[in-house]
Amino acid sequence: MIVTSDVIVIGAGHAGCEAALAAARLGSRVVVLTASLHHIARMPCNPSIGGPAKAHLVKEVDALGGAMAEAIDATHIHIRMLNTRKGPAVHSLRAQADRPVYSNRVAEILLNQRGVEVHQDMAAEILHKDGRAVGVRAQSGIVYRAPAVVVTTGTFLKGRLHMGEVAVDGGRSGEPAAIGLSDSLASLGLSLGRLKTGTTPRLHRDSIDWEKMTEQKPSDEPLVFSELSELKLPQRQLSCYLTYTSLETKRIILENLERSPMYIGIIEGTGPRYCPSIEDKMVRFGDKDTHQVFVEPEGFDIPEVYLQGVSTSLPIDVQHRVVRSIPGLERAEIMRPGYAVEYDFVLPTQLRHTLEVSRLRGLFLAGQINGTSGYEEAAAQGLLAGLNAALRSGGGEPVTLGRDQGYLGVLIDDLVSKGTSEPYRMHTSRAEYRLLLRQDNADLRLTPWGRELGLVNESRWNSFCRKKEAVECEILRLEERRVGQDEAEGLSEALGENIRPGLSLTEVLRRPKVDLGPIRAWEGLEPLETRVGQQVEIQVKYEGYIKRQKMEVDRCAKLEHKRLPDDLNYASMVAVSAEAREKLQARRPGTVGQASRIPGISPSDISALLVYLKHRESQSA
Amino acid sequence: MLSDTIVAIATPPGEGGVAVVRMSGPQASSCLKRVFRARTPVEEMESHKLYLGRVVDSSEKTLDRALAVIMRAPRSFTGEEVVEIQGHGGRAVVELIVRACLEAGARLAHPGEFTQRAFLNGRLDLAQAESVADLIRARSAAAAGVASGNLEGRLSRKVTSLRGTVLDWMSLLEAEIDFGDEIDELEPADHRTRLSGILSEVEELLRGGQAGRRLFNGLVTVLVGPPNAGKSTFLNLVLGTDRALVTPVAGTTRDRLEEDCSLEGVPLRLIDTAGLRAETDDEIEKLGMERSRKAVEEADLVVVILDQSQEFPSDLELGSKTRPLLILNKADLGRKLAAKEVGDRLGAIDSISVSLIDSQDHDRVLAFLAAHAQERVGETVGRFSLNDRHLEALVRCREALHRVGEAIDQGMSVEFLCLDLRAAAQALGEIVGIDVNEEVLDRIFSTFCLGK
Repeated sequence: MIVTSDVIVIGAGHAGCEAALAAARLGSRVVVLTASLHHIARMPCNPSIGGPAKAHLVKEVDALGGAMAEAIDATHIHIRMLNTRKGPAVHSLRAQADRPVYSNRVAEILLNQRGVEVHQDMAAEILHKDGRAVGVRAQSGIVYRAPAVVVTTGTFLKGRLHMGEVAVDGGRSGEPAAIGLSDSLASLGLSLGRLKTGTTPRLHRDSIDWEKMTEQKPSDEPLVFSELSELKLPQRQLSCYLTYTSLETKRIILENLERSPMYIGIIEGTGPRYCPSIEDKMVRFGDKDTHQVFVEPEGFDIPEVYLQGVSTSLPIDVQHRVVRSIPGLERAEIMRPGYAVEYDFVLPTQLRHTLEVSRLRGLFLAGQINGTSGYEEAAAQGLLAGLNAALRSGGGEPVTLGRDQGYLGVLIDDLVSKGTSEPYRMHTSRAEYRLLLRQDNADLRLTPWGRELGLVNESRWNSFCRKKEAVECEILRLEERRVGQDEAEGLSEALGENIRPGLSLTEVLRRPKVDLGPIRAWEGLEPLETRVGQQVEIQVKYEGYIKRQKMEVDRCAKLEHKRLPDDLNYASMVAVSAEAREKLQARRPGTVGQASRIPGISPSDISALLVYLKHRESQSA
Repeated sequence: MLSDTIVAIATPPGEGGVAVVRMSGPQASSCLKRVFRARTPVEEMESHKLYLGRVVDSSEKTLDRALAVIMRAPRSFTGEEVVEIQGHGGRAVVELIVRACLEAGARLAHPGEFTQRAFLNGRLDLAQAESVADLIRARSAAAAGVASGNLEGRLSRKVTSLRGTVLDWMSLLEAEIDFGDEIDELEPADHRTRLSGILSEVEELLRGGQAGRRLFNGLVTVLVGPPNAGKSTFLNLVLGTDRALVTPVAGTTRDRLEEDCSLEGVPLRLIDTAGLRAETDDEIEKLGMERSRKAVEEADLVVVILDQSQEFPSDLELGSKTRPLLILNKADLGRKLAAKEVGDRLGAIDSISVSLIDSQDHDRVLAFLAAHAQERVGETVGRFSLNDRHLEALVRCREALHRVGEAIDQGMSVEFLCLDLRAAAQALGEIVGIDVNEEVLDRIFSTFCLGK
């Protein structure tokens, strides 16, 4: 049997869902293959979305019409803003999802999306002809045909679960691994690596002594991710709790290290440095006696509670003792133990910046298969891969995003240019233009681009245009409105600041303690819509820094975008180090900027490359 | 692309005892084979050993008897195969040797191309490559010592370590942003301590480098004094020439004269000013005196020369900041001025009484000047120098650090500090070539002369 479509998406996790939705928004007919119809957009690890840099990705997905932001806004049980003592560029929204409800919400969006068909089937082999992907053969024997295929298999490729001395094949707790597809990818000539990630024990809500922990209340202000969500306080939220590991915890873990598969060499894959297992923390930070543990409910109507900070693959009997050594958890019951999962990933340096596999036109990869970790990282890649698959399938050219345009651009450039040797997690420090790439302006940065490509629908576009215009109008108004001789005293009093006559209201607003609200109130004007007001304040208050960062972008643009011609013969460049020559020849980066980020290519290699380019230009001139 | 072989005369133009023709590139020794006849065939010549032979042209006619040495890759300055032919000096002969090399397949090198190849082959980093150019331009032993300090990587090491300090601080700030939950934040006082530590290192680099820079451009030494006090005589004495027009008529030296010379290893840029007189009707002289005043303000060293047989010139004004050296001339004509009194009046750092027409005083007055010039240059031995590019980058770094200070004072949060810390690190990175910048590359290699 043959099923034909424009785009095939393998997997229905966070990457797969956004990929399918993006392709469908462009008008493609999309077939999604998933091992189980009931396992769409699951959250096998911490059911939380957002946090530093991750929130930025969620906002970017939203700016391009994706589903993640809208879904979490509708289904969270706890939301707050992190980093509020710092500036707006690093403010980060973070929400705890109601785990099953979130997944159901995304599944509903996916299943109702026009142009998307979801099939319960396991992909077994990528079909290709003459260097192009042509479809997928499934375990059922069905052949799915399409000129573009997006693979988003998460941790399922040859997945193996570890808990102490016990190891079983599986992609997630209770779900089978995907064995065949890995070999199919390898047979295409792709190099695969092995990574490891882990999760924590889940406890029963009623077995926890909440009194012994510090309560972390959700925000009492309305907060949402999506530009389209209504800004209002949820009817109900739950608190999270903070506790600490004890000296006893440390002792138990150190005594049982030889029973941890990580430490006795059973697990070969590299784990994430930024999300270390509790065993790792005890060994690597041996001088620290205690570590933070966040105790987070997983939903309103389910009893599971997530233990953030206690990811482990120790045997279950040790896990019990570890958990019960933590204040507040002395009587805690583990509903599901923590475990580690090892899985294959494709070395992402084999991809183009479009997420298309260099050596096979029409094959796109997104999510954990590219070596990333996190739902947000997966969703963002999925969106771009789905978009490009749709473009490829329709005969168009795939698109890329620069490091100065979004965290998504940074993420993809890091993966493709640098590669990764551990599960890659997004941080704000990875973005050199952090002050420009804020979560508050994701829409201003990306929605027009998304609109041009067809990702952004009419209603989002109209709402965007209204907001943008309102922001621009207000800034212009503030610039032109000057404080009159007879007004200075009144305004000074209203704001508690000494305001001289002749100042523009922009200059007044730029003062650290002045907000827009009181200025407008003094003028007798209604408050602006919250999103508009915040945007005006940020753009006015940080104008100097924003300008400087923009100048920095321009300064670097020349080298960043300097093209490396396709016919450059790197092998002949004796002045470039042998290692760099080999890497340049193999990767063929598109620009000098990309080349400069390839590990093993030194600044002097780049300098030499530039002198070669100059030499070449002068010869051809 | 670098597969060709380049050739140039490596010794300075002019007649000398020896002239060196240098070739670099994969065909250097095969070119040598076509132009050099010796008992040992070229292909059997050992690396880094001199061989005596004859240089011939394509018709086997002998051009010169010469020594040749092959330095095989990568053990050479450029990292390529290098050949040097040491012939007898004499422009015509040397040019014939170059022509023979050209006929043998080499091409004429561009200015700086040897150094550029050394850089391209990873033999030198940017600062080192630059200091080769500085070394070539160095005009005195002390200046050369400073340039070779750069060549050994002294500047690179200092700058690299400073950049490391900036990056360490940044990484703490970055961690605060991304792992705010788990990390203790730095207090504003910690920030200020770190900042002032880094700033003082930048200032020290600037100071040390500027001392090195003085060695390069010469210590600007301005001669001041009333007309006919003997300034031009003194100038000529230091220079050992009759450069300035000396006549007994007051006001002969109308414009300022600039001369470069080296005194006991310290390069001086001597500037003889038109006499500083408050009143004159001569327009040209007025202009000259205006320029003289400016020269005094910008000088590293001011030398006041007075005729001690005359009254103190009432119109002599140096400005309160200038602390000159005082030379009381014409001791043979009697004394109306006391060294101590005049010295105090001018705020002089030291004084000497001489008679410049007496050759026995010449050594004394030269030693006097040399001692103060040495002191002014300071402990520059073992230092490094800053060229314009370094200076510009360091100043940019300092500006960025000052902005960090302002941001701390205004209570801005750490991501704003990071913006300017990154700019500071970038400026430092440009000095050592860690941050690549095309314009910088162009500037560096265009300052070279041929044959290096």
